[in-house]
Amino acid sequence: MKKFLIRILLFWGIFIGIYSIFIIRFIYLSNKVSFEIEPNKNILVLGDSQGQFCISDTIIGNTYNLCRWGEGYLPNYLKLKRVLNSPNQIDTLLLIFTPLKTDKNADKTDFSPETVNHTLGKYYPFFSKEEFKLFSFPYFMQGVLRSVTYTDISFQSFGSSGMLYGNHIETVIEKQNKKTPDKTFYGNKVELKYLNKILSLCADHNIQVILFSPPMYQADKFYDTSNFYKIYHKEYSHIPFCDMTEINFPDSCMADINHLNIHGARRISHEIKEIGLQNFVRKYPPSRQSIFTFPSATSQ
Amino acid sequence: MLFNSFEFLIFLPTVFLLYWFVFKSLKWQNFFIVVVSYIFYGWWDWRFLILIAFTTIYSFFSGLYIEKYTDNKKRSRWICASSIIINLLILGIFKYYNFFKENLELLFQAFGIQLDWVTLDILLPVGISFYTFQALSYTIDIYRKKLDPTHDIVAFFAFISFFPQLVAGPIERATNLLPQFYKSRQFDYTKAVDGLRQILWGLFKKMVVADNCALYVNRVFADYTACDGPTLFFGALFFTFQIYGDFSGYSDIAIGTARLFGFSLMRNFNFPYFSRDIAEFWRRWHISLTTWFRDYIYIPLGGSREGKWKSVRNTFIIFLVSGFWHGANWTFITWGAYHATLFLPLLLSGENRKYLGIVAEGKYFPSLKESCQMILTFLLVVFGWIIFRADNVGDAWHYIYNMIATWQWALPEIHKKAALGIVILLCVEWFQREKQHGLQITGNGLLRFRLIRWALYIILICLIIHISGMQADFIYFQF
Repeated sequence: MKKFLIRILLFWGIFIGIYSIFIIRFIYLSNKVSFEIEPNKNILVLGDSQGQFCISDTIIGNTYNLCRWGEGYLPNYLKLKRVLNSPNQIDTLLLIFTPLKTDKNADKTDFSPETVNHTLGKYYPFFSKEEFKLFSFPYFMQGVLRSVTYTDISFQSFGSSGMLYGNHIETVIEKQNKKTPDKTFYGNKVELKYLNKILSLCADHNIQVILFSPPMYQADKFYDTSNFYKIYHKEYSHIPFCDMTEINFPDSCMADINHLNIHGARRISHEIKEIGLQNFVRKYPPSRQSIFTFPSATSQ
Repeated sequence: MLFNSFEFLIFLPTVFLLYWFVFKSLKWQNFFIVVVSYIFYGWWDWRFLILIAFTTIYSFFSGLYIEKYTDNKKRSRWICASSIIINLLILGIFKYYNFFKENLELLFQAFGIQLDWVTLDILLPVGISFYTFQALSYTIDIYRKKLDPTHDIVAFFAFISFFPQLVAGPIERATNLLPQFYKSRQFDYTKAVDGLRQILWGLFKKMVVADNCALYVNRVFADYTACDGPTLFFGALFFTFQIYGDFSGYSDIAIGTARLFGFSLMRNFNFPYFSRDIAEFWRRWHISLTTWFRDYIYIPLGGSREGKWKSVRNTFIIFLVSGFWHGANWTFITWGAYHATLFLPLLLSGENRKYLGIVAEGKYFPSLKESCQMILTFLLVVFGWIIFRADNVGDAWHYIYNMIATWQWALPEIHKKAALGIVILLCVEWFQREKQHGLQITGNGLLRFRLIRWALYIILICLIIHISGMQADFIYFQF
């Protein structure tokens, strides 16, 4: 028995030792990534794939797009903190704010098992105590253990603008209809909390926040837009909001129901470049005005 | 509690240390096994503990009364029958009530009679078929005088609820497992290390092979009308490995865990996908259930000794019952009938025991004939799994029809992690097919060096961590 226990301890000691070296390496390299933004860029774009495939920072020269697919406000807050702690000239934050972000199940972005790989595992080196508390230990360990395989720990891997090709609206709708709904309920408390944290962080650094909702295909049909506008008018109506949710955008510019393709991204990026961001925001005010008093915006 | 969960990762070492260091006497060890087994089982739903406790108590006293009235055949037969009826009744209510109700309603409807029975919203207790069959075998063996009833109620509780094999087998016979609770157990280093290897291999099969295959399979079966022939074929192929990885993986973990505690459980799988005909497949697949049906149904019905027609009848009965054991759905019964149909020609031609040895024994590769036999048997099994996996029989036929009708010679998009897992599984198990499990190491070749062995374990653990699919329940829990 003694021999057995010693060998087991030795084996696990070696295994954990080797593994820890890789984890420490990952944490070290992640923390070494420079989030410095070039001085000629004064607009930072944050959000998920909707922003990533909408704003082209090669067309709009003074913007930097740090959006990344599948990322909620939690990772975006962590990225913003890093950017603001590094040399930068950012004075405006263009923040993606869409019905997906206020959905009653929006926290799925942070907590569903699918995100273990690309969100939790990637961002835990930036976590503070508060973020650690959000995740259960086994779930957190999965993220940590899997993180050692990340080979790309560059600044670009945290987000960049991109382009989608083609039009797949019909296929996506067909797939969506057949999809078995996920029964797990995650709520939206965490997402909205981190949205507020982004807003306060920007206020502390005198950065103007502009909320932006890119065009969507029949948003009313696929998303809870009334809840989205309720939340906006109740909580964020003091913030400029560039709302293209219900703009009648040509299908040829859509990659699917909530992403623009290369034509749509170019069209919007060129428009922003030509008329300037402030005029662009004025051109697309919130499409629904506040007419009700709202009882409660968040749900858990 | 799942074997592939974080809770079990804490549970197993804790129980192991307490078992060997704190509860040293036999009585205390048995008592401890009962307590931890009930915790393990109650983790799902504590209410089902009442059910398992009832089954255990009823079977225990049935055994004692059969012994008491051993001279009164009629009475002992009634006691045995009542135990069988009560156990099957519980199983029937919890597992089959709604199935019978729906089918009777349909039958009466055909004659214009409307039945309006109550539909019960019953939760299926995890592993009910496994422990019920274990309890049945105890009572029947006492009645047949193959076993003396135990007077040690703690040992009997431990036998029925022994946590490694409680929810998905192997279905142990009292003649094998119960006596192990009477003898004082000594820690055996070699057995414990081999047990750990078997657990590791079981986890690999479950988490890398089965869970990754499940991602592909669920997508294909949920949307089979939109898939082309090759995708449907790969869906069925991946399910073939999913169910094997899932179930044999569980058995490996169960047997390995039991070895850590000084117990030997029966083998449940013997590399079934390397079989050369269906009869050999059934000697290698879910051995504990197959032999249970052979001993308690097939042989009492006369087996193959009472003429051809009785052999045919008995074969069909055990295959249909075996299918029905898996669940209350016509798909399982059809799957049983399908295998019976494949098995019968072998039985009638007397070739059902042709391949008793290991394929290509002592060789690296099989002969061309053996390869063809294995591929053919494998494909027949794959078709069977389509029926097994489909939601209903109609869907199964449509699936097969679509697969053939939309066939094209093109490789579909496949799940690469699942494919990698399957390739590793097949390679390892092929070269280990003469051993008890995929990771049994006998100390020959490079593996005699500890460094190499440990490197191998580390590679497997890393594969489990990095390419495992989403955590899912073991398929056989529902049976």
